[in-house]
Amino acid sequence: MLKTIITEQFSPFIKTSFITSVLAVFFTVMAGNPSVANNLVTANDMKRGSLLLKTTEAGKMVEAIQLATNVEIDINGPIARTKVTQRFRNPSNGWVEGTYVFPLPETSAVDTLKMQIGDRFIEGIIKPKKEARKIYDDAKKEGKKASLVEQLRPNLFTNSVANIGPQEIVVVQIEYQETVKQSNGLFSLRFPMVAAPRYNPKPRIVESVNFENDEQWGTVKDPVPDREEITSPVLNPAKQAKSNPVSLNVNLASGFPIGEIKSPFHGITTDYKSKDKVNVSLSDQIVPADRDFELNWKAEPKKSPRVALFKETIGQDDYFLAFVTPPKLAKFSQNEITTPDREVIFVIDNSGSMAGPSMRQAKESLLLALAKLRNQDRFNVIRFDDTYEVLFPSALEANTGNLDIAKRFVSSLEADGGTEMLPALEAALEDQTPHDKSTLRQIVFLTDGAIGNEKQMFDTIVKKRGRSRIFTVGIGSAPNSHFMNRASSYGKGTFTHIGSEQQVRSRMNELFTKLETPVLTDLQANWDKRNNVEMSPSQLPDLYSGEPVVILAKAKNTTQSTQETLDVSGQFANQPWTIKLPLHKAQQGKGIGKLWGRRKIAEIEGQYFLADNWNVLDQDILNTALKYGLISKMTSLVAVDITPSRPTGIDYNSQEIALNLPAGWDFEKVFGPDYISTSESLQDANISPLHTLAASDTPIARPTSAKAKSIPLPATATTAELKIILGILLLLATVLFMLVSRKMLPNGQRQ
Amino acid sequence: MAISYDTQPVSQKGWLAQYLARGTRKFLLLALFITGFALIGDGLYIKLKAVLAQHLLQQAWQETLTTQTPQKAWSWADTYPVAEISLPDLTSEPVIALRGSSGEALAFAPGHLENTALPGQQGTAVYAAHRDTHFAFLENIKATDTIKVKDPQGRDHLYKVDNIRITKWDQSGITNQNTSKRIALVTCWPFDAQTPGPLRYIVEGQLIENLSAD
Repeated sequence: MLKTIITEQFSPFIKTSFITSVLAVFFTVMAGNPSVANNLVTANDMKRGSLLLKTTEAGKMVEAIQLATNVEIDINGPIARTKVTQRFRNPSNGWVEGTYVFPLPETSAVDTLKMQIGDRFIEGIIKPKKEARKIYDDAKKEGKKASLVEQLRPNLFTNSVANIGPQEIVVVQIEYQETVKQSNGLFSLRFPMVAAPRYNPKPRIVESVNFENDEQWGTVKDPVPDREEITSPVLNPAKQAKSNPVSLNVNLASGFPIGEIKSPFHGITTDYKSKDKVNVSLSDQIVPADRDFELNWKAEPKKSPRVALFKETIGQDDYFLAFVTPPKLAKFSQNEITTPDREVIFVIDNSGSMAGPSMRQAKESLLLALAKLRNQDRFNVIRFDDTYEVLFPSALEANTGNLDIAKRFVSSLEADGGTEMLPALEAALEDQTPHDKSTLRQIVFLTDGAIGNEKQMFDTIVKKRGRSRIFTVGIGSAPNSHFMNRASSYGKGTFTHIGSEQQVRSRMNELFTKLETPVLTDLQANWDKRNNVEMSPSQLPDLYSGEPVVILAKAKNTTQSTQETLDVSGQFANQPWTIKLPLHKAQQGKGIGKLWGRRKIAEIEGQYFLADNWNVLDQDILNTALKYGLISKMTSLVAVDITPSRPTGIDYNSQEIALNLPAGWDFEKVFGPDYISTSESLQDANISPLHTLAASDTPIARPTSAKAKSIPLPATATTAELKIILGILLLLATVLFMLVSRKMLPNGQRQ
Repeated sequence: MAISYDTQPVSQKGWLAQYLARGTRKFLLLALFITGFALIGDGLYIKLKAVLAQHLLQQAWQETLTTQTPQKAWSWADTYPVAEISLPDLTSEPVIALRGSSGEALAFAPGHLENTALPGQQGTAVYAAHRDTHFAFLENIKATDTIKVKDPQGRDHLYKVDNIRITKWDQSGITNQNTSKRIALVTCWPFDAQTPGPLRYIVEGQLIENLSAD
């Protein structure tokens, strides 16, 4: 009651006095830093692929007018190759250097860059990062046109273009490939048009960690805590929408009769060439780049492919890509499959780092999990900080009595102390019936993963895993996703991230579905009669309903024998299952080699946390990237001039450029008549110095862009002063109360 | 809080009620007193913890610099010092920053947000701390001031403040995907509000030079 009174009385006062000071601060900042008020931006303001032109002000750039973007996606079975062509103009009358920042899907293998600057055609070649940078810088100094594509993050790239002439038009074309996602019979592909709000960088390595032999310094956190919460597209300002039109075309050759085809965020028109080939384009033809494009398709009922095998031969090597959906899982719908009995061990972290919302979320998740247990399931709960406690001596039946005990135990947990995870993990892995294959033993680990001895943890999991499966649940806005991802992959389980209280229910429900669905375990792939087969993933994970086994492999190219098979086998509800894929029947698939290369690089990057010598890993990445011609953290695409000049006396416009196109360049669509140049952009283009252009009083880029993808900031206020003030007030109240009550007492009754 | 009882001489029956009321009153007074005292103590403890921890962290930090390996300031700590932040223009005491920004870490020191750049690196290095303890001095910082960050190798990274702004916690605009080398010091705002709120005070700077400690 007292608390309410204080806040009610004090907050208006606080508010008014502070609003004035906020404004004061704001105005001083604005006055001292005029660039905030105009169109100048820095690279980190950019949320989508944009060409930034450097200005005279250091670090500040102006966004070039993006005239048009064309996207061509060719899907061939499970492989999608995307060609993105964008056209920009240098609006100034000076020579500028442009920096083009663009997001791409996380697993994409970028291998091609082509660029046209006015009359010059430039094609990128892959080089070690430093060498590429030097080539570019040298060319820049010599006044030559040059271009450089570098990887900023595994899913964010920059492209620098040197010496763009006044009013010149730049055309950039990037090509990359990726595999189509497949889940529950639904195939899908996403093209990121805006980096935000759906642009969710995967946890990545913090570069250049300097302490050797200590994995702690390279810890990775998931930068996007509320990945799935962010679903509503952020609208671009009207001007951006107008100046950033996109046309998109998908040539889908699914390899099976297509049943249903949908795009959740865009209207599409389909043009069937045959039952399994369809051309998809946008109904509006041109759309603003304000939301990602996603395409989902399904096979005709009962025609869903169970098996797909593709092969690419490069030199001495064969590259295979195999998709296999286990028979029973494909045939039955989810509720037809009986759930086997389970033994679930919940491990909850109540160390000090969990204090606050993390602990609340962890408790809520665990209580929800307990409520989901069936009577015949068995369970146990372990809590740990720097000590650990096991609730029951052994896993007990999930009856009301036991569940009540567990609920009380969980509810009473408080976050305090340090984090000693290993003993708790060992306790959880202690299996009293290790050979009982009829029960699924699942360990659900709820933690923020703030630990240092990751390697030791992984070792323990691998050694003592047995039949247990480990499902990690990352709690809080910045859990140690790297640790949890790997722990679950070593534990053959999955990683679930809960970033906020709102996500608890939906994420935990997803996890339960997995936990309850019978799995295909002990999956193995045998390459009959082939030696030296390298496979990725090297150890196949357990399968849950609806998921296919996806195998990428590299094998020495030997004389073809029709006998050769790839055998995939596993245990389905205690029943062995095997499928044989004849290798000679593999379809030709382009780009599997590059996908293999990309996967290898990702695997090497994953080793940074455990490795002692990073130079070796860097060298591995460099060699792999060079071999497969891919951009990576160690390699870049650098462009060399391949067409020295264009015929003189001809002004460039869409037609001229089209005439000059080298074979294989599909720029026509980009140069559609509607988008050659709008009057608006012409106006901009007439303004000569870049700074004048920049100072035009258009809306600031910052507020709209700042919302998305921002790093969430932690709460940084203690309640110390509040507590002290409250305490003093309470003491004062006590004294006052005593005085008043004494006065009111009749004389004779004083004590 | 209005407690009223009869102050007139009472009947037999009323006497018992008054006796009870007096007992309750005593109890209430005691409870109020204890709560008040505990609150002050708790508040002071938070402040004390913040100050004392910095001393322990200073030692751990010096060890870190000499041994070049992470040193925990106390054995049960979840985190370890990763940087020393000072503001030459403000003549304030340097503060030692811990890795991570969990509530636990922030009680002792500024925290270096895990998913952000390291000092001197491409990207934005973000440090957060409580407005009423370690980052109270941010109130006095101004554009063009210098922020000095020492990394575990003993290298100093100097940043020049070029932007000060106030945003909501989830709309910081800091992305760590910038090509330039930047820093952001973040604390809660307003500075002397008594309750936690959604606003954050962000001081941003651009790297100006790389100096070696030796």
